[in-house]
Amino acid sequence: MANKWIKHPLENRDALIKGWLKTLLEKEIVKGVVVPSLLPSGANAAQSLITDPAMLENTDPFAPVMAVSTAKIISKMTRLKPMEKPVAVLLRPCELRATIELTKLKQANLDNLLLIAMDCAGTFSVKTYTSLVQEGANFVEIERKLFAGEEDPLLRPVCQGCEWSVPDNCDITIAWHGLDESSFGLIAHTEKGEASLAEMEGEAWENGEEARAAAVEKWTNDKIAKRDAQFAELKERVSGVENLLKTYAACINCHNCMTVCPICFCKECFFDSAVFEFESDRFMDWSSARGNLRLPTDTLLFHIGRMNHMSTSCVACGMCQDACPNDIPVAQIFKMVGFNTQQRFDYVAGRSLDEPVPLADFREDELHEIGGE
Amino acid sequence: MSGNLKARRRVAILKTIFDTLGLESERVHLEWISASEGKKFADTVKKITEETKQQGPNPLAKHWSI
Repeated sequence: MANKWIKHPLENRDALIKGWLKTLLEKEIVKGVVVPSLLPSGANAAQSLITDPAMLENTDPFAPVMAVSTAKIISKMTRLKPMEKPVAVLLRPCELRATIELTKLKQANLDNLLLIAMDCAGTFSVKTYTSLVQEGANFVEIERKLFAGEEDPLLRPVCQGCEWSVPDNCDITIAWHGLDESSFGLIAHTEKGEASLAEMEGEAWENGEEARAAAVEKWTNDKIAKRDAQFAELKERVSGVENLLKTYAACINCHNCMTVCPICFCKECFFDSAVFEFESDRFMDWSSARGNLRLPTDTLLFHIGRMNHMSTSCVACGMCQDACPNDIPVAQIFKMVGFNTQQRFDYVAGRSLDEPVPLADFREDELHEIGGE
Repeated sequence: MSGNLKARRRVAILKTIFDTLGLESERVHLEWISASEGKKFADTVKKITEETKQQGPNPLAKHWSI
């Protein structure tokens, strides 16, 4: 197993990474690079597939925003046909975990992808990011404070309690944890990764493994405490019939949360299917039963149904909450529910390609307390 | 034949969701009864009916705004 650790000055990070990706393209080690590019308006950074090395100038690899989950993009690009030529993809940990889930669900193919993932301290919603750009925010400084453990209430709520700042299952990690504040690291985990790093000079990162493990452990424990506090507060606020109805009162059934979810891959959602088309009599019957009927129907059923269908693969990326027009804490609820449903099967979404997704697996000797037999 | 085992996983997930959201997971039942087990079917329905009577009406049923 390859294992190469190098470090560089943080102040050169953008230029070095862009230069490295450019070299990979120029030397045809990869034929394309998927990386966030600053859109010409300057108001947003969106993922783009770059084939011309000169276009790497416009990229913003560390823009702290996820307009669309890269997992969804990888799925779109590789589902019908795997990449024939090597393509490098830059990801945040939750995007990588969603990619792993989609691969297991046969909705993405990792062949020929060079997965480059970064330590992540969290991202801002597109709206917040845009206003921060307009204010001329110094994003490296913001990142430095976040990695130092400072809290930022502007960060997306799921990011504030995210314990997954370190990517697994990638070829290369762009590392922050375990170094002093003036450096960043590059770690190759695979031969493919190591070969691509041959194009990058750098100072050896001595004893990196040990320092990094300690830093990651501290960070993760702090975030788990924060997550648990979020869960406790959330449970208080949303659980029980009355609270649930209050929480989802603002839902307009737009299904945005489902549309942007990297895990919701069905071509036609069950809730958009003919099963939910009814004749007029049915509406009258339902209304007669209680004297009134909320329309459109089945708001709460949609959310609980979605949890039942895919919370076992939820990576808590938070895209659903960004897409909610009425600020329902959908991602936080999903994360809490997903944590519990995954724990039931000792499963962690995105942890490993080798663990089957819970809904595709079953055992005779399990869950006896549920019933049956 | 594994449909029953898969279904058990789905029921486990649903009950976990209900527990997390403060809904009554004990209202969800799973029993495996074959076509030849008439008595087991009758006993199970009796048991569920008894339990449901104890629990009272579903608190969600009175809401028109679900």
